[in-house]
Amino acid sequence: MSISTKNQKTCFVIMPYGEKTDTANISINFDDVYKYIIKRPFQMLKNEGVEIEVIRCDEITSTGSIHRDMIHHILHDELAIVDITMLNPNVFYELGVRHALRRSGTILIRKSGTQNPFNIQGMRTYEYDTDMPGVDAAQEKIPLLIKSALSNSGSDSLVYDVFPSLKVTLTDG
Amino acid sequence: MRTLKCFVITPSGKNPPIRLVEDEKYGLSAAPSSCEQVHTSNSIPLDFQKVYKYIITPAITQINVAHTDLRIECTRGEDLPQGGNIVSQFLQQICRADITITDVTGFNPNVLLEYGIRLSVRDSLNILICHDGARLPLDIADQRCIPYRTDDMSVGTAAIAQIVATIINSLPQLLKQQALETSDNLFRRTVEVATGRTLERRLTAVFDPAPSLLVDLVNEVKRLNDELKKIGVSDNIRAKPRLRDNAWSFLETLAKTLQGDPCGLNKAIDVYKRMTEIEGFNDKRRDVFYILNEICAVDPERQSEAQDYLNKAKELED
Repeated sequence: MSISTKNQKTCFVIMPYGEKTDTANISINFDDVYKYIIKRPFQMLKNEGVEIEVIRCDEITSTGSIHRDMIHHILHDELAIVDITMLNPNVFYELGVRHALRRSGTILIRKSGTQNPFNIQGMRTYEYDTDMPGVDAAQEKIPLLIKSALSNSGSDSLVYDVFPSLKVTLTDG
Repeated sequence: MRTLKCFVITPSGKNPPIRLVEDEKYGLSAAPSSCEQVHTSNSIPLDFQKVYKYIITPAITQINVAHTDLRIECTRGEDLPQGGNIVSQFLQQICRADITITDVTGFNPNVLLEYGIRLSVRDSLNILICHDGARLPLDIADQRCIPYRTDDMSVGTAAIAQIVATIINSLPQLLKQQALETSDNLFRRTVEVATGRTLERRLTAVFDPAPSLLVDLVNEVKRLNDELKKIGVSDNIRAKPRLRDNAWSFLETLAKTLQGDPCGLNKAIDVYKRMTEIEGFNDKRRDVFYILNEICAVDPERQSEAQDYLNKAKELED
């Protein structure tokens, strides 16, 4: 499995893929969101000397079970960026797993106009736009969110807020 | 009489019925509340109130009627008392319930989030149901799902029978609060392996008798000490008081840790109860009775137990 080089931090991106159209008939190309909104800020950080590998589920190159690798990333990666735009069911399922297994290091983002569902209404969510000013703003703001998430000694998980002493032991694997 | 808690993870029945339409990718799916667009005019209305009333409740009632020594209590999010931190109350129910029944029809994001949390936190019985003809999202596509309909007697009745059978099959493990190892889902199994839960469970089982053993030992040491004192054996031959103090603080840490775990509450109560059997330590035992009282007072079923503990604490007050 490609996770063995563990001295480098990894960010797992949980989001829909490809082009999707919402009920208001507006389409979003999530591959573009990934490329321009999410990945670029990491390039900025790299220039500053903070190197974090970004990986999305469709980029996992190892053979074998996709599910197993995905869970592995949800568990082990220091960072997760979760795009809740269009309320995709797989995204929410994976967010639930992430919240249960990691106390901190989860960043929520959404396209402006998306409503947070009831359960995560109280959680800070970065709102992006899919135009040039939006790309610009994301480059400025997302690196700050990443740094803050990495240094967060508290909890940004729904589950750990309720059960502060919950312990999940990760095995090496 | 044993009580099992069943929490139903479902969209609120207070919302207006959703309309299900045929979607190429997802089969029957919700429109338009699910945000991906669908193009068709035929739709089936689905009222989650009806699902609860005519599918889930009858299944649970059927089990309760057949088992006089067992009661399964069914709760939904909307039945919880309003006010306070509702999300926190939800999560407590989701993580502590013995059984969950999750209705993924319509891909409600709250439902999927809660289901993901539940699968990761609690290895117990998790039943998945959805409207006949709907397809599951990829992440949970390999899980067994019971199809239902509220507008078709035979599909509806079959769904009830399947829910009943699933619960009855798991009853032996549920009653012993054992983990269910029957999961045939890779996603779920990977979480278990990756979190080391299987090993943790085995260790927990081995460790289970430890508090009782420790309490018996400590009491036995005290008894022997007292005997030795009576026949005039000198202090430095008798066991040191530090032993008892250490045993106490160990049990205290253990109980507190268990109390913090979503599935550990019952075990925490057991440990606290054992602690009250340690002879001597009247002040500390009184405090433990107060803690027990506090824990039980929030549970409607443990009211008389809570009162007992309060009385015992008061007896130790002087």
